[in-house]
Amino acid sequence: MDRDGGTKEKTYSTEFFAMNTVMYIEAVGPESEEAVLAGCDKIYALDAMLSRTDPKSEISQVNAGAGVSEVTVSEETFRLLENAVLLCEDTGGTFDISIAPIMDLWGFSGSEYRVPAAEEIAATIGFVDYSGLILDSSNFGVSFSGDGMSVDLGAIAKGYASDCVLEIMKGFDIESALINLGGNVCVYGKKSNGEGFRVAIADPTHPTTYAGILEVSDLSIITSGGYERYFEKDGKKYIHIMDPYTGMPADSDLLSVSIVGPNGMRCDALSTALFVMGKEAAIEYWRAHRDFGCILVISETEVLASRDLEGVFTVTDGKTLDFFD
Amino acid sequence: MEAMDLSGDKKTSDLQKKPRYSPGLAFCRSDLVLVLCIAVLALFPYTVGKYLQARATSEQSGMAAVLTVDGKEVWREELTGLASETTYSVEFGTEEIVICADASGAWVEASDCPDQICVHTGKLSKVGQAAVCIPFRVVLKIVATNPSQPDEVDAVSGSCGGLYEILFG
Repeated sequence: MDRDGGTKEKTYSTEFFAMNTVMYIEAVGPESEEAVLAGCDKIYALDAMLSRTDPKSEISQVNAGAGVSEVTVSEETFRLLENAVLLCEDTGGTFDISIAPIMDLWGFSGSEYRVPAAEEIAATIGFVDYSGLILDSSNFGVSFSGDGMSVDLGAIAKGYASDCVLEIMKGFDIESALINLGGNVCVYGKKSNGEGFRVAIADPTHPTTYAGILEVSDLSIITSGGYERYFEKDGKKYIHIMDPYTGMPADSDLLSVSIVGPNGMRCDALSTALFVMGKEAAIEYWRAHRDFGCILVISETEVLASRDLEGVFTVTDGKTLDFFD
Repeated sequence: MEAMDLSGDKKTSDLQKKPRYSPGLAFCRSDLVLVLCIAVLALFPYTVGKYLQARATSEQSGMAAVLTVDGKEVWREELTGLASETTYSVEFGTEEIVICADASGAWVEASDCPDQICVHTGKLSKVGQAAVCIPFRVVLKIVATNPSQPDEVDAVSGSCGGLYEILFG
């Protein structure tokens, strides 16, 4: 296919549904088709491995049995759990893969939402503690410190999947790639016209407009916000991002958090964690690390971004942008 | 000549008898027609302008609305040249989705899907925008048909097409 810029390159793309969302993978280069199809195969494999609703998946088996006896998993699932626990530690538990019992309680694991009684939350929050996940690297065994615990990799699965897909695609002769897993975006290389990819940040206040646009390459851009999924009861909005400390929807002063970095799984985890932290703690976390870019949407008109994104991030008309150092 | 003069006199005489625009007389049917004509003429440049503007927008960006089911294109409509709002009913399998489009965009008007997220997404008017229906595995999106016109954006982070993300289950 003739791409913009006049360069003749073979472009191949596909759109498909997996992990309960819509996905799009595109590549440019002599082996673009092989690369994209191999990427799709990896997504389907990860879906079967990590889904919490498929009883045959490794994660379902862990949740079903690890509270009673150790469950042996594949090395890939084991390493994923290991890295997930490191992210839980690094974010002080604001991101916690053991949040699953609370998600179930509120109905966010399915679609029958409810507001649990305070007693129910109090009785369930004790099961939320990533340090209760016991990982035995000698045999890739997984167990929980007690019955009632379970894990949900929903907050990192697509970020992890984008890392895996990109690694696989790099093994083929391609020049650039765009991986969009339900709004979790990863871009590789530059477009045929020599420019970076233009990745918009969704506007939390309107589903078809943008808060701003990044021009980037070789990075993941992952966004979390309360606008993505919520329900309303008696005039109050309950968002799907839970505070692992309270068992309640995160009482954040942010509308959304976008993380820009080379590792999709970490970006995915940090977007959730920094949303839970709120504005001041999120900025402090960025200051302590400074190895990723961060965009915080504060209100319909106010956007904050880390200084490293100056020059590559602009906001849309009607919004103000301030950088923090 | 005489006849003509007489005729002219008669006309003058008739007008004098039934003056059309004398104040204080009832608003007659012909006046209403005249007012309506003036209103139509007054609005004409506005409506034509709006149409031309919408048409120019879609021509400039070369937009088409595309519906995919499970990643396969099942319907496409060039938005350029659509003179007015048009409704389409697209059937796939046992399901049906109703799409509306005009020169400036397209939207899902109705769907039998349980969550209605695709309907609530609203009008899509920029290349790259999409409305997603997870239950039916359907995506309505706006694509560029003019290759020299670059897409406004290549992807949107934090949205899979107006969809308020459903957790990975």
